[in-house]
Amino acid sequence: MAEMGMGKGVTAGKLASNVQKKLTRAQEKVMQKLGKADETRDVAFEEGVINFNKQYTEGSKLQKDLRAYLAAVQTMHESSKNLQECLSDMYEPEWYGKDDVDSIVEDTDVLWTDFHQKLVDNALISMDTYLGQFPDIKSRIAKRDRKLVDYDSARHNHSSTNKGKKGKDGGIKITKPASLLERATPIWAQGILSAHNIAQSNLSRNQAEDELERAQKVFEEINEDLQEELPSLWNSRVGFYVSTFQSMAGFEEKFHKEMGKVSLMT
Amino acid sequence: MAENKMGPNIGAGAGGFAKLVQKSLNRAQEKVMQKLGKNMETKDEQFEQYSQNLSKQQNDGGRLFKEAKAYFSAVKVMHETSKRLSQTLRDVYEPDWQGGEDLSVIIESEDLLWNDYEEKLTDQIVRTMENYTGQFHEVKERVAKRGRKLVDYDSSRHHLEALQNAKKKDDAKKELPRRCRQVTQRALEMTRTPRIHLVSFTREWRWRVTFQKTARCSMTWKT
Repeated sequence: MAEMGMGKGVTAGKLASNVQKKLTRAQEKVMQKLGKADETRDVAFEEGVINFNKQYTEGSKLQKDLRAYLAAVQTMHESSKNLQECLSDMYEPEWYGKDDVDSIVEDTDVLWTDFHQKLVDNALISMDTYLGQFPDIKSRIAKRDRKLVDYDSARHNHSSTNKGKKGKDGGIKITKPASLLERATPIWAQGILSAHNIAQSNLSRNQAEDELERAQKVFEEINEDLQEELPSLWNSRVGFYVSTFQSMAGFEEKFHKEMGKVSLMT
Repeated sequence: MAENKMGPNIGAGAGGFAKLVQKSLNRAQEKVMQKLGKNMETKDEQFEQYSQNLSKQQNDGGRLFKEAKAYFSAVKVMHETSKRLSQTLRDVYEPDWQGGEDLSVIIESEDLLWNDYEEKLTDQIVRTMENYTGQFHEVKERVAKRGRKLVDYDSSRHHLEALQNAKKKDDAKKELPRRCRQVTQRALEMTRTPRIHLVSFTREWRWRVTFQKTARCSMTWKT
């Protein structure tokens, strides 16, 4: 992997290196698909990712439905209020029960407002907070995947440069096809040329080694973090669902009970 | 004055149309005279009051109906969204968790309650209000008709007066006033009938109280 060194703070250099990275990854993936290079697989991790996606989808749907429900609660509050105000306006002062009507209108308004507020403060907010964690983790999973490809690519590169060494002793000259330069070199300079070639291949081998180490380190760091976080997130869903919906059911029960009492006043 | 609106317009055609045009013209003329203060208008304070009450009642009823319909559709939306939320929750509920069957039962019962509520609202509130507001149109028509007949009456009365003041001793001409008088008598009677109905209708004013109380009770919250 001829990595163009990170251009020292030059944007063009950075851009070039990103392009290079993408190319390398694409190349590696193609190799893997063609079966020419093996992929690091982690079945347990993949299951974790599947669960993660499932959890995210479910959570999003719940959030969407909850929001729709809250909007409906709001609408019903308003229309109920309008209707009651209409009745209250028509209720003539000399009719029996005028005060009752007015107080009913007020009480129900308070109950509705209270109900809606509780739902927003508890259910909606905790839902939003819960779901807020997902996008970040999702992008980290994607990053981990990319680092994994980098790692695999570095691994293959390293092993292919090492293969060169595993050939016959000093067999560089023999395994490589004789280049024009070699043929043109006078006898006395052959030594220098071969030394140069050895240095070059050592250099690229060392480079590959460094590359491998680096890729491995980066990958493992991010991998380990995720390996901890994903299961704990998955397990947290139970607690979240329970606390959110239990409290929501509690609010609803209280609301309906109180409303029943108000109506009975008539 | 071609009065006979009651009689069947046999072979009306152009003749009938001409009569109507004539009537409208007469009425317009009378009204202008009244506005200019040249002719006296028969006023009936009591009836004016009834008429105003009628308008108010109609407006109130219409408004109430509109609000009730809006409320009803809000109820339906709330039913829908609540159901969807519960269903999503049920989908999320994993098989090995406790209480999965209870959840289904709860969802069913909630659905039934909502349906019941919606049905009651439809039957008791929406239908009732529809019928209530439906009757206004007819009554208003009759009030308007009475108004027109009143104008006719006034108009013929003035015509009669004018003729009498002219002091025509001509027999043939006296014939005309008598016929006028007959016509005006009939017109006057016709103005009385709507009034009676209107009185009884506004007695239903009191019925409104009971109605509205019922409406409110019907909106009792079902726990």
